[in-house]
Amino acid sequence: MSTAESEGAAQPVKAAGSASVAEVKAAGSASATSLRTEFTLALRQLRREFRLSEYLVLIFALILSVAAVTSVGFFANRVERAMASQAATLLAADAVVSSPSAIGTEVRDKADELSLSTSEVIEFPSVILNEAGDTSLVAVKATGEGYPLRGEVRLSEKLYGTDRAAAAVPAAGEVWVDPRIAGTLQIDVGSVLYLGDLEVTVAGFIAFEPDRSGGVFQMAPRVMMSMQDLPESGLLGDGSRARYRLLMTSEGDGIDQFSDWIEAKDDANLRYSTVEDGSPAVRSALVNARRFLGLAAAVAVLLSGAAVALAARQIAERDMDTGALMRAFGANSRSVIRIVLIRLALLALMAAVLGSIIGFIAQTALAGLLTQFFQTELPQPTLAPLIGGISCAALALAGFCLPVISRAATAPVIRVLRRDLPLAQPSIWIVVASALVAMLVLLTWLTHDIRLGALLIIGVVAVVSMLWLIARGLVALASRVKSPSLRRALEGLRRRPGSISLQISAFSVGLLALLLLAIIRTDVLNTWQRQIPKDAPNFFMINIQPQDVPAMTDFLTARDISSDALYPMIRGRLESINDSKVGEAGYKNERMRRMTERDFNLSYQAAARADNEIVAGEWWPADTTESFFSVEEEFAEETGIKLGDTLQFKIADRTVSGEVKNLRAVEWESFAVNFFVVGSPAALEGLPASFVTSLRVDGDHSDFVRDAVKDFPSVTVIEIGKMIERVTGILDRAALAVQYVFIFTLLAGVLVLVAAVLATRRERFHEAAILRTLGASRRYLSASMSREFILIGLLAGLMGSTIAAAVAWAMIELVMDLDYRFNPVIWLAGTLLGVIAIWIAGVIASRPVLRQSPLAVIRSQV
Amino acid sequence: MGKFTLGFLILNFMLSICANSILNQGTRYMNVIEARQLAKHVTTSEGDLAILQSVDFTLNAGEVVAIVGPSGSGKSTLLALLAGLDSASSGQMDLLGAALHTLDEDGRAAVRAGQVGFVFQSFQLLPGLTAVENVMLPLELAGAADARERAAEQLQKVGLGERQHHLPSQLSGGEQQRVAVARAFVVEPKVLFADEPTGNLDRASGDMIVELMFSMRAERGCALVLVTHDQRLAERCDRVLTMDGGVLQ
Repeated sequence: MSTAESEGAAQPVKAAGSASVAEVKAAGSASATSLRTEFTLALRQLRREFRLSEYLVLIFALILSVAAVTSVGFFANRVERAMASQAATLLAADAVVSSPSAIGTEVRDKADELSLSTSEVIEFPSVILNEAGDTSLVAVKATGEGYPLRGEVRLSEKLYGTDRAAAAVPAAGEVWVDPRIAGTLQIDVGSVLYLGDLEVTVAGFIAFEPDRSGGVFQMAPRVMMSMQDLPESGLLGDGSRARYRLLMTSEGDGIDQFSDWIEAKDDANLRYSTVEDGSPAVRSALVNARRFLGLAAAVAVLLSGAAVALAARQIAERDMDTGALMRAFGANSRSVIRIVLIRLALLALMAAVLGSIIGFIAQTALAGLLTQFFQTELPQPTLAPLIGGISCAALALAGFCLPVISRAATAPVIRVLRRDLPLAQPSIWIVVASALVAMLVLLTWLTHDIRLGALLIIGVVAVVSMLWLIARGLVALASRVKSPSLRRALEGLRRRPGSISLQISAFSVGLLALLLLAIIRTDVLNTWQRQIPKDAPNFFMINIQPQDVPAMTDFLTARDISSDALYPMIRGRLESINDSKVGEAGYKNERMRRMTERDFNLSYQAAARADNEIVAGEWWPADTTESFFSVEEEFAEETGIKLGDTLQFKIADRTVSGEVKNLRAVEWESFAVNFFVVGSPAALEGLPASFVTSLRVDGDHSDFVRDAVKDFPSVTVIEIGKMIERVTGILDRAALAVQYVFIFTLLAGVLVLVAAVLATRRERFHEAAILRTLGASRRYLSASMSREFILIGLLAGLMGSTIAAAVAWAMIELVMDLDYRFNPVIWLAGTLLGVIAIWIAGVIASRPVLRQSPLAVIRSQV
Repeated sequence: MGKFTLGFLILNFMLSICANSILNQGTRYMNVIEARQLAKHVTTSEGDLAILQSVDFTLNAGEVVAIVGPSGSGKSTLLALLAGLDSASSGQMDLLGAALHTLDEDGRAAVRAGQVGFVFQSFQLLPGLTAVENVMLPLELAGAADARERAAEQLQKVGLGERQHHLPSQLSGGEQQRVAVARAFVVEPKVLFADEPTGNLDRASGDMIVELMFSMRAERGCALVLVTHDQRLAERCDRVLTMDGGVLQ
């Protein structure tokens, strides 16, 4: 006799009276399963469950989510850092401190303390002379060692000749000059010029200056000299007008720390800029890129969530039996739930590890693919995306799986005797709420945009509800159809109304996502890239004097050069809004402070421009005699200007005030001449103004520039083509990255289709077994299933295509503020894809159903 | 092994048999189950439906009782209430000294843990676990440290020692039910509940299961509540009770 038997026999049953609740509970807790046992049981179950298709779907879906999130995380991390670095070339640094006086040692010491790389630049206006005594007003830039910290200065040996990267800053005694003064001063490389007390030699023509983009309109032709020559030149004395700039970069988070420090310092003399504050076009491109990458990953995660939810439903059916049996043998519900939690945690961990590895490999491969597009090596990613991947797996399981499975684990224990009891379903509100919360967190986190996240969720809920209702309507329709050929196709819908409705909804969601991707891939990216038109202007001409306007128009027409209109440009400073002094009550943000503390460019026009959309209010009558202003909407938002406000500007020695008549949307990416504030002619005409235009010159530019400089000496010609190329390059790279990330979304869509087919497989097994027992041939069953899947595919395809078009419209028009064009080819292809894909997937997934012997199926269902 | 040691082991073995016998004698007529005025009602669309009405039932330690009756008479519902798998709508129910009617589901599970065995008509083996893992399950839930050894030993007793690592799908119906019997007895239950244990088996397999179940029960002296349609099987029990229309006769 074993010890256990002896022990068992030595414990007599209590003869009289009943144990109290407390006694039983105490006994229960004493015999409670240990965490170690629970872990063992969970691990054992999980080990075997991996053979089951629903677990395979679950783990693949989780791995896919993690891989999508981490690959996007790692890659976006690297791309954003690279992009920021490239965008930083427009600043020539990651951040810049500028001041009208020499930058104090405190700032430099802080930069040193944070191990920032620094370089100093001093800019000031001056006059340069050639040997013949001709003069030109120039903007001198004295550059210190290391300049530029980001990007490069490009020089050409010949005027408008082939350019090359400059190896360093100008050597002592040498200058690099803007090609625009070549015409005025008749100089070439090697020519001698006089700058203050200094005699210098021209060592090259500046083809590209990275940090020149900010404030192009104020710039006289550039002359770049060495900082070493500055004392000897005698150019800068006490009270000289100059701008001192300290350029800074860091590989770590030093810039962030410096930002915090300098913002806390709040010195009005110091202006601080980072890449984020850069030009609107670059900022817009970066934000859009980040949003698109996040969106692509978010769709993959959402689809994986749908696959997880479908698989969870089947897992719950199994768990219900397991949970009931364990509880029949004495396990308490907490223990059963803990086992479920341990299993899910193990799954999440496994998915996180595998998904992160795949994500890392995927981003490495992509980075390899894109190396040629980046002029520099992509920086290594940080580990932060790993946290995202692990959280994603946990969140997907918690949101889409846990409520269903944990409810199943606590299903009535009597199920061990009554298998016919209906499946315990958790509260639909809990399931929906947990999924919605998970989705919102994931989407907001991935897109960095709660509005986009919320819109997507509303879209998903609306779509799923609509699909569900349509599917249910169809099932009701099926019971009334009399046609024999249709009857066979519809009878499956009638037999399994609930699960078929779910299946149609799931298929539609999968197809919807795939189609949405197709639309986004083609339409959205095209639309986005269209923002910078192929014929975008590549030159600005500024400082056109009013009396030169007719001659300039003739000049351009004679050369068949397409140009924008010539816009008047007036320098002014915003003084007050509704009689309230700007800045009196503080500034809403740093940008507003900068925009209102200095002069900026205003213009005036009688008629509204076709490329500026009025988003609030209306344009003024062309012949109005009143003073009105039109304000760009983002500028209005940032400065707090509203429709109907009265603005007061200080222009030269005059004060001009007028009412805000309308707000305009401006596409900065178009690179057309645009203004934050435009006035009515009555408000601004007659004030000191010069004119500006943008134009496109194709082919060789040198003749055009020479002629323009010769005929209009006062006009400044600025080539912006290179800057546009850089911005377009950033957009192209981002578009390529988005398309790559869509591979995950595509896989997740396929996974949803597979999960949806598997969702009804158990029912089909049972049904096929009964039908075959009753004499149905395999051929009959196969034909019946084929028709059913074709019908389901058709419905899902139609619904998916239509809703995809609607969602794409909403996303593009409402969220991205871009124009959407309906693409009928994608709509039709989507419907066909639905039919073919679901038919093939259904037939493949149903093959085991047809092969299985009826006896085995019926036995397993007992 | 020395003579002294061998003698000590034999003496110890004989003493333990005597003690077991005395204890079984002592507990044979103590109540393992005592149900008073048990009733179970469910609400349907057509109103309140009484599945079980005013059932009084007592099961003594070591006693074997069969519950017979036509389908739908409430046999399985009664078994579920007696085992604490479900709660009664009214009445009092004591199992192994615990007042089940005062306990929640977890409390009832705690009473069953390690003291109650089950054999079901549909075997109820977990498909993902091997035979030995299925048998280990109740031991592990009760916190036994040597679960695997005891489960393997139990499988030897039911003649499945060689097939302990097979999954249920790799076993015949009779073999699956033998695994279920091994699982029921592995915790040394004080009471065993069997719901149509031969209902899914052919006659030969059914007979084998019955023999196995009765012999193992006799060896351990545990009480048995058996729900069956099989008259031959019922006749082997100490008492036969008939359920009809939710009433125990």
